[in-house]
Amino acid sequence: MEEKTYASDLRVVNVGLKFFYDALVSQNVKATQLQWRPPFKLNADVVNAKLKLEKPDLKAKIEAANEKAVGYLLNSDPYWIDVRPAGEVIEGLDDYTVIHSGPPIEYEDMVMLHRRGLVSACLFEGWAKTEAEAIKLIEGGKIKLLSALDTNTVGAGTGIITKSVAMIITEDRATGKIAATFPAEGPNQGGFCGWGLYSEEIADYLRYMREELLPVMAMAVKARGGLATKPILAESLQMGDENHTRQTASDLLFDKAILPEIFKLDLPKEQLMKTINYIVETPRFFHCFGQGAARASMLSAVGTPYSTMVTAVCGNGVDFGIKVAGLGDQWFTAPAPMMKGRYTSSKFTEKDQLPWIGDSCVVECYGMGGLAAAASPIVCSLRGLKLKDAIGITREMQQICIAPNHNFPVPNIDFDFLPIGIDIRKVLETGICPEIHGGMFNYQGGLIGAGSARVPMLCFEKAMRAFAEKYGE
Amino acid sequence: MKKVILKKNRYVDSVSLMGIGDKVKALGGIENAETSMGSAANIEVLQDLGYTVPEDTTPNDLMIAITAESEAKWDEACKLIMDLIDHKTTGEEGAVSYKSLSEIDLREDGYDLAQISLPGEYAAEEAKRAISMGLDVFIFSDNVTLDEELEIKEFGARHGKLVMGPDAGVGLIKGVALAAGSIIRRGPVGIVAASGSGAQEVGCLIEQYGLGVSSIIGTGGHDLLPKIGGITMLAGMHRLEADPDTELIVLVSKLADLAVMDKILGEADKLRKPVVAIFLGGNEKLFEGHKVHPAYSLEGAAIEAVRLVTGKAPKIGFSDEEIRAIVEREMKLYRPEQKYVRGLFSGGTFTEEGMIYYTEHNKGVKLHSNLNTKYAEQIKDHNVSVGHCILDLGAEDFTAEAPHPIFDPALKLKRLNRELEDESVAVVTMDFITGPGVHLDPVRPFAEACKKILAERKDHVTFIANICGSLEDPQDVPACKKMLSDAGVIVTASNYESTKLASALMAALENR
Repeated sequence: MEEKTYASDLRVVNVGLKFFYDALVSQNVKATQLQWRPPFKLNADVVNAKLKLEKPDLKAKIEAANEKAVGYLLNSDPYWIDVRPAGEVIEGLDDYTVIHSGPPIEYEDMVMLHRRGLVSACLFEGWAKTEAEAIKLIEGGKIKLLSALDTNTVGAGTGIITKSVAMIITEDRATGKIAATFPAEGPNQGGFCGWGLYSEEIADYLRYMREELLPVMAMAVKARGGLATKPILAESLQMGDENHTRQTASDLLFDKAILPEIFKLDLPKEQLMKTINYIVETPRFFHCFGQGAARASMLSAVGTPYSTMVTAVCGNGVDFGIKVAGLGDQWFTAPAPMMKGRYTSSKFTEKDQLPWIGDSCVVECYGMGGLAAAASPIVCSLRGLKLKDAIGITREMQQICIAPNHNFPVPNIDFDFLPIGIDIRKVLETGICPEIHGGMFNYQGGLIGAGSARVPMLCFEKAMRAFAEKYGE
Repeated sequence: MKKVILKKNRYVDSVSLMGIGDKVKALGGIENAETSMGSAANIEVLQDLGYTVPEDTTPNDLMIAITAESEAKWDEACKLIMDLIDHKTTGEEGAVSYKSLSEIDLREDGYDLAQISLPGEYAAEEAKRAISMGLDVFIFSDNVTLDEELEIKEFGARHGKLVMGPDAGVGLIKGVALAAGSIIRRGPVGIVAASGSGAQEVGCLIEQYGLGVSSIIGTGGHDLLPKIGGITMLAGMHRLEADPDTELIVLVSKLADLAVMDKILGEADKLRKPVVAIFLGGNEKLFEGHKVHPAYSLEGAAIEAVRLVTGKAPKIGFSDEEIRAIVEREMKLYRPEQKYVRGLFSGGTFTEEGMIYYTEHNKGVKLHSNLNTKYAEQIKDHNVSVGHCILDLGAEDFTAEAPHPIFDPALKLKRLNRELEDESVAVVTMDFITGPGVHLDPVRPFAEACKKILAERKDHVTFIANICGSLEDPQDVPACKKMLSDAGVIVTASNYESTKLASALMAALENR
């Protein structure tokens, strides 16, 4: 291609008045007009931290690292491959260890749901026989706590997971990384793992799932050679799901793929029907598969040096935290936000609502949920938003993400690609915080609505300071 | 070049792929371009077109097949195809547009300088971002606080980057006119200036005298304040000292803080290259004990620079006889009520240069101005002139109400007409400034207005004008001068010459 020759070897970026750009062009000078708009105002120290990242050599490293990190997500190939006990697949999940959702937190600081979840865990695993015994165990420091997103699992809701809970196993076949997510708890959906609730009935049902229902699913999926979950996510995103709050289409696509395999199993019909009923009667059944796909894909990106991509976004009802690829397992927290949306009953108000709890925003980190608002106007309508508002949210999200996700084109934005890979730099640059969808929790446990929130800016400010500290000069 | 490449496991639906071929062929030099999934039917199509399709092609792979006249064309076409399917192309084909400086990858799309004219509150952050990236900055924006100015300039110094401005109106780097500057012919004189119009005048005069200018480094008007301490003027001097295209350095400023000026001159003494300095309004005392060649008018600085480079001082402007003759001729034409000189200026330094001259040469004559200066009494209402009145129409009281006159002549034209309604006005002196970044037809409306007045009125008004501009400027300075002369305006070579003539007329009017 022939290079254009210019009148001078000076090359100018014009920031501001357009007629000064025109003046440069009229002189045949290489120039570009910045499509500038007023920046988001940050504290001076954050601005200075951000400036350190602008140095060309560091910036080049960051860009390359982000491309690599987001590449793991773009090129991931998640398959549901098995069902196994949590203790076999989650590193460090031994006896007397309990996984919970959100950033790390001490027992004393936990919300009631988490505290109760720990007690339930001790009872479920038989480490304690009574509630009082369990509390003694916990207060005595006998129970080790792990944040789910410091491991290869995801703590949706309270995210209470112990070693004998049966988990859905997802493998990213592009990398071999394995993630485990807990399946919806049927009639008690959200009972133990989700709400941290415990009763004999719930414990029995969990065991029943583990012994009776899930092994059938495992046999079916193994007979099939695994089930690719990304195509289901991609197709359902074109059918009105954003795969956080809504899985209507992905549930059907999942059923269509797995039910024939279950029918083929050489087992008594009654046994098959129990599993089939469990699958089709449990709403949002595919959610844990979507989270598994997201988490398995993300595991490779965690710890990518120099990357400013967000690898985790979650809350524990008190604090809200993010993690950044280049900063490994460091957490950056702020007070957990309140969700805005619709309550399931008019009897609920904000007073009944718990600040954000749960890890299911792994799907946002994978470019779904709030980032995919445009794909699911029906979810946005929960907050009284129109289609154009939903599109507007995704357009905003495109401004803070590293890449367009060619896996996920959606019709409402004329088959433009959904964005993927939240970049902390772009969040601070634009002042746009990631939109996150989720369920609203009652203080007492139980789902009382659905809605959305934004990740607090403070998380990004803290992360930026730490990033500049680690990588800046 | 005829070749197929594969994008493994990349699915794009056939509807999206339709129409890509035509867009790619529009590049020219492309015989055909096919983008399709690797199905058996599609492979057959490519084979029919004479392509060799890789053996490991599967239906999940995207095939890109292009026949181009050269490898470069093939690459270009392939990149366009990928950009199209990755939705990377913008509305205008090939045009990249950036929303933020951070989006620019200087390795791929190189730049040297950021020219910033944002509202002042945003200028500092963008300037520092540009400096971090490795760019010099030129900041036209005003309303940047002194604290911020100091911060930007120290930041620039730490990164070895030049910070021109804030509030820099004029710059010239590697032959490129910045902001409101003129495209002055390239030559051996480098200028560092805290005064935009002053630098422009010196540069354009140097061009008129047959030389040229290597750079104009505008420091902005606050650089020589004690707080800033001349950071940019010092950096600019050193940059010009190191610049092989610069033989001589001219420093241009209004009178500034004594200690800072002394520091600048002290630093100038250490340079190998000769330095001419003007601190408009300053006297010989400033230069005592320093090596620099002093000048006391903008024209004087240009003459001294040319003399030092060529060994010969240029001769221009009016002789005393010429001025006497003009004064004699004009004085005969005024009515008795016509008493005053009015100055309508777009350049702040020109306003000041005039007032300094009148103060010195028309002793005892009371001057008025909209500016708050020691040379004149400030008028109460900037819209009403009083007596001999010298107006800086680029000052804030005017620009708060209308665009700066160099960008839009309307304000100045309106004021000219208002002055002409005043029966006490005998002389109107004006400046015009040209360049690619200012109004493209700044002179015509004034030439027409002057011509009309001189034709309609039975009495006489003397119009004096000078154009601060270069031959390369798009406004065509010689044609502008002719337009003014043809309208009956006395066109002078410089603001200094205009001032000399107006001063002589002022004296004659006072002594009548």
